[in-house]
Amino acid sequence: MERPNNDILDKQFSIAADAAVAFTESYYTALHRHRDSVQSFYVPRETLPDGKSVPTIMWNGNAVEDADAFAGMLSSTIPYAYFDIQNVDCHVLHPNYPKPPGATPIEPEKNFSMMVRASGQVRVKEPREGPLRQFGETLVLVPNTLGAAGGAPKAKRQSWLIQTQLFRYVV
Amino acid sequence: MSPRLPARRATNQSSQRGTAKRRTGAVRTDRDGDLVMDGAPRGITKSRARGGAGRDNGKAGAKHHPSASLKKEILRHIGPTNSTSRAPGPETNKSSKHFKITGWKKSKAATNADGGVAALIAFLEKRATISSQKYANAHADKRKHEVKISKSRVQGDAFFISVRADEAPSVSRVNGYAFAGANIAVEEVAQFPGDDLPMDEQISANTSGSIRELLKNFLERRYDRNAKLLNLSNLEQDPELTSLGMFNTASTQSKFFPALMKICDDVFTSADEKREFVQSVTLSGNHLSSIAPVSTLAPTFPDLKNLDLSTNNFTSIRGLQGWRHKFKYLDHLVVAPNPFTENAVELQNELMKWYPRLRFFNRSQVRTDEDVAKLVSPTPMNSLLVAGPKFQDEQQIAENFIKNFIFGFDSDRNALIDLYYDEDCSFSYSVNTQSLNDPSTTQRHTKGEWDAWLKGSRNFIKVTTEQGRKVRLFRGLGAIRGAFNSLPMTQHPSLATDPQKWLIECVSQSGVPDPTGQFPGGVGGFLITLQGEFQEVSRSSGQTEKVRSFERTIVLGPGQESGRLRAVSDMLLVRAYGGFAAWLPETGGGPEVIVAELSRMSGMTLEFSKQCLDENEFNLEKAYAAFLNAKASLPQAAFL
Repeated sequence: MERPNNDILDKQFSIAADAAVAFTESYYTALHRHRDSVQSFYVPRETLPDGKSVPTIMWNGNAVEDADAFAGMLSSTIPYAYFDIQNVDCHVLHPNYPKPPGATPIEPEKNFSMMVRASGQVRVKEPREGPLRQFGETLVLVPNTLGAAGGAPKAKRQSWLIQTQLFRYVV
Repeated sequence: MSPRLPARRATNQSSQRGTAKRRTGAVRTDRDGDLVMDGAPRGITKSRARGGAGRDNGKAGAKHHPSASLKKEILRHIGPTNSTSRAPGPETNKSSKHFKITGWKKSKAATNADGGVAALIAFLEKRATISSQKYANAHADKRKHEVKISKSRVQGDAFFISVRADEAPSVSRVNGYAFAGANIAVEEVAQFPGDDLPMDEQISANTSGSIRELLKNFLERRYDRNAKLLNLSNLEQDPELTSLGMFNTASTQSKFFPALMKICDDVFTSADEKREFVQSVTLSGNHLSSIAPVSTLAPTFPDLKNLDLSTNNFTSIRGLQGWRHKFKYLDHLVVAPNPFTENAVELQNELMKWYPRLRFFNRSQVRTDEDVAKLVSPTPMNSLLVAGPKFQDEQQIAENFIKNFIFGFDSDRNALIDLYYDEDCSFSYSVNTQSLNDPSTTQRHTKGEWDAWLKGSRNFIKVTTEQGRKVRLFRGLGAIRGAFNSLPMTQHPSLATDPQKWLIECVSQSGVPDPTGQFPGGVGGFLITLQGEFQEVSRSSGQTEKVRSFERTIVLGPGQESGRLRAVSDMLLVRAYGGFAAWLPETGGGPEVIVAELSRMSGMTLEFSKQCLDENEFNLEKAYAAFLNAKASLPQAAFL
């Protein structure tokens, strides 16, 4: 494997930590009150060369097909959800993430995939009175290499996209 | 003869006026069919009740001259002002002072559903109260000073408020404060907008006496029972609505539609009735450039099948954005003609994505029944019931790893590290001290109970420095060994005998680094999440401590040598004991799903599991509890 040198790895760890905090902040805010933008946080549906398809989304044991299905599920089954994030941690997963052909080049210190784990509480159904649940979530994020071809206007484009997501109520 | 509304909600024909069915309270109607509530006091405070179907109708002369309180009620619901009275008392208090607030539209709160108005009111009252209290304290005034906004209203970018005159200086001092990230300007103005107009000119009093009933009549005229069509086209040309002054100002117009929808909610009281009686709505010819003024159509008729938005002023699909994800059952949508800038194909493709059951678009068929069937049921969504674990293993690789891993973590961490970690593996742990507890737990929080975990806890919410985060990431054999050997010892419940205490999921994960270098882009591996509990055992004393809940995510990939595995990434979260009820599957699935789940949890055969569920109302939790009670006395044949 082309392992980036230690300087770059160190930079990656630092960038990953900041990115994980920023990403979780905007993602859980979107689930709360910017539902229109939820799709923009996910990799587009795609079958990889090994035959596996992404994204992988598991919501309390329910397999959800892709970002559109996820947004649809949210609006039909959890019309309200407020997330309070208590813990965020993250590791760099692949330090030299493969770029698809034609993708916009990314500096080596930003070209990695990462695993993010969040822990917190979510209030569903309605503000203040709704049931409060403890949840745990694992996300694998990959750099957004869709560039301008990604369609979304630049301001709405996420730097990182969810490739794998496992969400669970834990209490 | 106009079409009738559903029979059991028939209106009083002799007076050509509907009589709203009151939900509660002693009700009778006067000779005109107007509602009168026995013994109800009349006045502002009484009629302030929000959202109620009732209104306070001054009996004397009500037919031609709505009483003052009725007028206020009308104003509040559908009148031309959207000012909101928030405190009892005469609204045109001579000793009121008025302020104009600007700059708040730039705040973060402006994206709230109400445009941030509620937050702004709360903010202004709080800030002004603090200021007022400070001033009072400084002048040895012991009374409680609470600033209340008596009246407020949004007009464009400006927000107008009224307060008692003696509170005005405190309000002035809020000028320049930051409200949700935006500095706001507060300036006193001579007049509250709209106060200069006499009430009678704001609404031209109509002979029928009640706007509510007018709307009901209107609804009746516009409803075609045979076609199940609600025709809301060309509203501005409706002579009766125009005579009411309903379209004199933008704000009246914005109140009209929600009020009409409220009447619809009263007339068609259940989702079934709405689905049955109103299948089509046309909003053609209403100069709409956005659905915002009529957005309440969606919550009122969520199951609508046919919608006509033709001949409006839509220039972009963004104008319809608010109805994306609404109208799940929409079958036919008409948007042409409209001055859309998007090309027709683009528009059609996008709208077809929004409405998976849409078969007809602008009067031509765009999907067959089969297309719709395929699209709407690729994977049954199971609503959002908590389902059993998903475990997508291959050749039991992940399963065997997990068994070894849990055993090794409890009994010999050094051997575990030798087996499953290398120099490029990462481990970190964190503790969530704020998590919810299992409500039935008898464990109480004790001071310092998390000391053994807190020092190295890698929680970015608390550890915000680059250095702090770096030293809490354990990378490579030496660092991971050090961390493993500093953490308390653990005793996890058995996977074989206590499976219900575990929730283990596994999905495939691509792009896992390949240590051999053969596949620089990465290889396929597994993402494994473990949820469960362990008994903490003190490293120094060997004493058993509390039972903790934990969550752990491991990315499993191939090791350097053929046939070896490694935990590329291993992240542990520890929290107070939270039990395992959260991941018991909710019983929304078919009976066989529940039987299978009980069998998995208990180890009983499917037959015994079904019997156990039959005896316990098919309730999984009850059945499992019953199983635990009876476990010892069950015959060997009960188990798999």
